[in-house]
Amino acid sequence: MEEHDYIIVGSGAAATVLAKKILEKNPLTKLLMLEAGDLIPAKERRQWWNYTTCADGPLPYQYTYDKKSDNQSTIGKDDKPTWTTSGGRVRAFGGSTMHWGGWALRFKPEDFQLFTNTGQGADWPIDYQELEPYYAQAEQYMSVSGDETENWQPRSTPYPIPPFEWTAADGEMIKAFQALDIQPGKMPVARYRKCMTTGTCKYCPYGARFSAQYVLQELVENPKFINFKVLTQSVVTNIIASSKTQISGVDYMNNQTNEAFTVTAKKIILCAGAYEIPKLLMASTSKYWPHGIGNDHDLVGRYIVTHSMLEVTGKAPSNPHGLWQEYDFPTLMSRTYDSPEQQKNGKLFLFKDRTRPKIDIAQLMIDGMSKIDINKKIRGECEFKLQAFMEEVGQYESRLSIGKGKDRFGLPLTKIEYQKTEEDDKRADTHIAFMKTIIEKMGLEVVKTFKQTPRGDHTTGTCRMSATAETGVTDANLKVHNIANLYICSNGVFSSNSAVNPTLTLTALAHRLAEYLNQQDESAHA
Amino acid sequence: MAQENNMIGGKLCHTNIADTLIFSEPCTLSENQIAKLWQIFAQIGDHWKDVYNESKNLKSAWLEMVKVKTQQQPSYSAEYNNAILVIEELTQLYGEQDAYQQLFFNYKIPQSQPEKDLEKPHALLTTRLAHAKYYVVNEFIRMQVLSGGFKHFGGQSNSSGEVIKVKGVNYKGFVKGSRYRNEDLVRTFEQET
Repeated sequence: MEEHDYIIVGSGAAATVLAKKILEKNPLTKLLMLEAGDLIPAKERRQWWNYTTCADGPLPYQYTYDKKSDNQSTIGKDDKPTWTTSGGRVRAFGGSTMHWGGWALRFKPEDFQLFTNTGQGADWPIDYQELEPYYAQAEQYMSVSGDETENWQPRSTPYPIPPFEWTAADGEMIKAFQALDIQPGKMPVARYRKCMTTGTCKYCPYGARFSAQYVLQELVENPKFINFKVLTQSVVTNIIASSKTQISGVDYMNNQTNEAFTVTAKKIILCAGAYEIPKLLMASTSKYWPHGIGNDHDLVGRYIVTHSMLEVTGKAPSNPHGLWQEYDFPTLMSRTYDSPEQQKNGKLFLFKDRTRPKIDIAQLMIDGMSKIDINKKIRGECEFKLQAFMEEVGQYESRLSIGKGKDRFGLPLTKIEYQKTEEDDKRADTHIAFMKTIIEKMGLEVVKTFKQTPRGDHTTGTCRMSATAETGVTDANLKVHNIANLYICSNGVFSSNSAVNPTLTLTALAHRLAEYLNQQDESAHA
Repeated sequence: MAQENNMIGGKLCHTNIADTLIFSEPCTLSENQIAKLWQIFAQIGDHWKDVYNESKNLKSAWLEMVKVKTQQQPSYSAEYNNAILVIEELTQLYGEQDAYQQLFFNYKIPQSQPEKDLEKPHALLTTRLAHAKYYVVNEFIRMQVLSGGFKHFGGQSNSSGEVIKVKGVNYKGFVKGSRYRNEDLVRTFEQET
């Protein structure tokens, strides 16, 4: 059996960075990437026209979402699941970057020292200063457009692309922010090079939204990387431990042929996300690891957490300037309450809703409304919405584990035991009261407040990074504790959550891990 | 099932057909067919007074859309041909100007009336007329709006709603690229000094 240098499980944001950097360092590296999902056709003009012009133009990746019926989360007092899995991830070549929003925000220095600062949660075994150069690399890699004059956190390099300016519709909220000493900011967005016309977003006119699929496709097609192979519809079912400290390879099932295979490698990197990795570790039992790989201390799957979305909607009696957001993504945000002072009470990342004031001109025309009536409607009653992510702390009792049955990919279903703490609820109420003051400062009538059920989009914490095996699953270099050749690169390794989106931080971690592995390989070769 | 209470058109318009896309093999439309279809698209601009971005400026983009929708599966060729026949009948009945007026502003596709809220109402595409509105007119409207054809909506207007100043108003989903490089992206916030 041929031994690979690397097997990477998963093909999303982290996997792609790792493959690219490892192959660029040594183009002949024998690298096998195994992806449970399929290739979703991109750069398809027909698909894009269908999506933008048809009444029910479906997103081509939605079939990969978790089904609602597959959700095996804890049932709350309202008889509804306490955790929503559907719509949070895409299982396909390129992973969830096929559908993400592209918001590319760095964590702040205090996010890496949550326990030290507050006595809650955990510290990361690395600090912001350690990760800062890799944040810079990640921003270059994903061509993040952002405001280089911002001062949210220290940075060594400017953003590679200027920011999207605030839209006219942001104006009244900006003024309210300023009146309340809240610093308005411009949302950093990952753009990459050019539009893929994937049929997967309506993000034009900004030209492009980063997708790992684009990078991955280039790697596959590059003739220099003759030993690089991506196998889709290949579901990894087991990690093979050849001793307590060594992994020899993985077993996988080809979903097209129903054939089972075993492949070996010198190093294995798990990049299959915060849901699949802990399940795979737990499923991989052996005489060396009777409770699953890396799970001697019963920590795999624990501390699952995300950040709650909070919303306050305000109504204006008229919209004299006919404002609406115009972009299909937010341009206004603030990190004033994403601060060290706020950390103890749950940091808050504020942003203006991307859909309001909401007006669908095409639908009004389709409904037969005249131009004059449409213009009157545009200037009539309208809504603005302020949204926020609230940082929450991962709890030991909150756990992801293997559910009963399998999904249509052949992956085990996901069971999530999760209950919001009373403290989280109180914090959310306090934050919503504060957000109301912003809406009221805009001169609007508050008509609705909303606390979203935790969704899986930004799941972190199921394979925490830690200083010791007694407190987490991987070490600071993302190597599973006490195993020489198994690494995890996923949101799951985050030691604590923050209030902002995780993907830029994951991409920075992937750059750092790739550099570490390349150095290791170079030393071994020497 | 709801009855059409906004009956326009004649025998051909009300011919019953299946509620799915009319099947046809991928093919290239004739110049005559394209000219007639283009007329529908241009009439959308005329009826909603698309004076800023005339429909004609969008022709290359429109042609590209029509091409991929007819030359790839599932092909719209039969739907486009159906729409041409529907327009011809409406024109015979009402004259050209009123035919489009009736189709754009008066005709409503009948909706299902689901029992006990078990499902959302949906368009009943059981006639040639309904197909023409749903697959052709509505899609042409969306294409024209997202392509920046109606950026004047939301511009500065007078008390009667007539737009008197146009400035970079973007429809969500508007396509920015080399084809539209002279357009302003969006209205931006200008900080008062």
